[in-house]
Amino acid sequence: MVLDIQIITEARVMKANIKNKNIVFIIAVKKDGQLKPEYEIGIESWRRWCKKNDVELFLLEDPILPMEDMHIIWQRYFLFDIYDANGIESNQTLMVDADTIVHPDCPNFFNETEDKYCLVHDDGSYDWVLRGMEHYSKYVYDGEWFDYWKYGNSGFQIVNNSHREFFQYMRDFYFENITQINTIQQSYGIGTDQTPLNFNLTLQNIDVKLLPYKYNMGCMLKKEILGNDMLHTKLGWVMHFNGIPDKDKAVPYWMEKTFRHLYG
Amino acid sequence: MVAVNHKTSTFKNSDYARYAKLAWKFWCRRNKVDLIVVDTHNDKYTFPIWNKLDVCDVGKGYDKIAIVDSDTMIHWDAPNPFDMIDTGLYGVQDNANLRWLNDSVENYGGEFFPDFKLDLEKYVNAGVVYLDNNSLSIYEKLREFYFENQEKLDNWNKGGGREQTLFNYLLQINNYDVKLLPPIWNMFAMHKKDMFSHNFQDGDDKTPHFIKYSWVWHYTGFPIEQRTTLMRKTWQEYGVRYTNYNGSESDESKY
Repeated sequence: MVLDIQIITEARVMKANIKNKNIVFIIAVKKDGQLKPEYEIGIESWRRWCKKNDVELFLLEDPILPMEDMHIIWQRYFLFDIYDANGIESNQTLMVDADTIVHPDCPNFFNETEDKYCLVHDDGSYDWVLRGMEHYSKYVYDGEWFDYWKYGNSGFQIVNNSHREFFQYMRDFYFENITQINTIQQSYGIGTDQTPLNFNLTLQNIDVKLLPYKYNMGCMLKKEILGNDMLHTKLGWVMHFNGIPDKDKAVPYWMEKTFRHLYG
Repeated sequence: MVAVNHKTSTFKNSDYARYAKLAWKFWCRRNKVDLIVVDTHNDKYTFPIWNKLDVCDVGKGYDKIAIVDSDTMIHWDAPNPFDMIDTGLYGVQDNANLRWLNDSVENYGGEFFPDFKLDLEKYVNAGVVYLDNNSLSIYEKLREFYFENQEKLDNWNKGGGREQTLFNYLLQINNYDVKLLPPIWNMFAMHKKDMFSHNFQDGDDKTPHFIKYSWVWHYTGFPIEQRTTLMRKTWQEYGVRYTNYNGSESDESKY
C-alpha cells in the first residue's frame, strides 16, 4: 500500500523540525477525547527523562489511518513517514508503550544500541509466546520458526534510519495479510504486532540486539517485584505495567503509586 | 549429579531423583557420556547440597563436565551440549524470581562480599552448569570458601538458597569466563513461564511446551511438594521414549 502522505501531514504531532536528535515516540491517541490518566502519568515520566537526557519526546495523538482499517498499534510502523511529513530528521527512536514509567536515573539507552534494532526479551509467559508463534507459523508463515528465546517485547523498540525499509515491509505485510492477522488476533488473543514483528525481524535478517530486562521490565508480578516495598523501582529502569490481572484498576493504581514514589 | 538421601532433607531425594537418574542415564548412554551419580553423603559437609563441590576431584579426568541437580531431566532426543562448549563455564541466566534473587544477593553479598557489585545479567542458575576442565577450579574455590565459613553457612537462616549465589559471587570475583546459554538448556521455573501448558487452541496436540521446546527440565521454583509428582508424571508420560533404543533399561526399580 502506498501511504497517502496527505493523511500523514494532517496528523497532529507535538514536535516538528527536529534535526539529528534521538526521539522517544509514544502513541497517545485519545479515546472519547481523553487519554487514560495512567498513560498521562507514563508520558510525564518520559517527558522528564527526555528533558534530562536531551532527547525529544514525540506523541502521536491522532491515528494515521482510521483505526477500523488498521489497529493503532500497527500504525507505529508509519514512524518514518510521519517524520518525513513533518520535517523531522531523527537519529535513533525509541517507540515505547504508554503503560511504562521510566526511572529518573535511567541511563541513556541510546548509547547501548550499537545502531541495531533493539528489543528486550519477553519471557513473561512462554505459553503466550509459543501459542502465538505456533499460530502465526501455521497460518501466515508457512511453517517458518525461530528461537523463542530471542523473542522481543514490542512495547520497547529502538530503531534508526536503517530500519526504514523494514517498517515499509511491516506495513506491506500487514495489508497483505490483514484477513489472517485479524482472524488470529480475534480468535486466539495473542496480541497485535508483537509476534509478526519477531517473525519478520528474523525472516528479513534484521540485526537485532536484545537489551537487558531492566530496560523493559514486563510481567513484574511474575518476577515477584511489584509490591508495596516498591522493589520494582530499585531493580531496573523502564517499568512496564503489563501482565497484571484486573488491569483496569491495577494498572492505574500501580502507575500512579510508582510515579509518586519516583518523582514525588 | 548428587542424589543423596539425608536426614536434613524435608523430602526424600530418591523419590524424585530416580526419574532424573533414569533420564540422564539413558541420554548419557546414547551420547557416549559418562554419568557419575554421587549417592553417598560425605560427612565433612553438613548438608547434602555441598557434596556437589567434590566435582572438582571427580571431574578431573574429563575434558568437559556438566553438573546437574537431581531435580532435572533431559529430553530423550536432546543434542549433545558438550558439542557447543569451548572454553569457560556455561549456564542459563536466572532471573525468574527477582525478589528472591535480590534478597539472596543482598544477604550473601552483605555478609561475605560487601564491596563487590554482582552483575545480575551474568547471574546463572547453578543447578545445571556446563564447563571445561579448567573451569572446574571454581568448585575448588567454593569448597575452600565453604570450609572457611562452614559454621556460618551451615547455620544460615537468612534465606536466599544455599550455594548458588556464593557460586556466582566467586565466579565473578575470580573473573571466570561465564557464557550464557538459552533457557532450553536449563528450563527452570517452568510453572512461572507457563511451560507446563500446551497450545489448547489448535488441534489435538496436547504436548506441553516444555517437552516440545526445551532440552533440560529443571523441576524447581515451585512448591517442592509438587516436584516428585511432576517428575513422576513426566516419566509416566514420556519414559517410553527413552526405552526405544534399549528396552531392557526401562525398569526404574533398579534405582
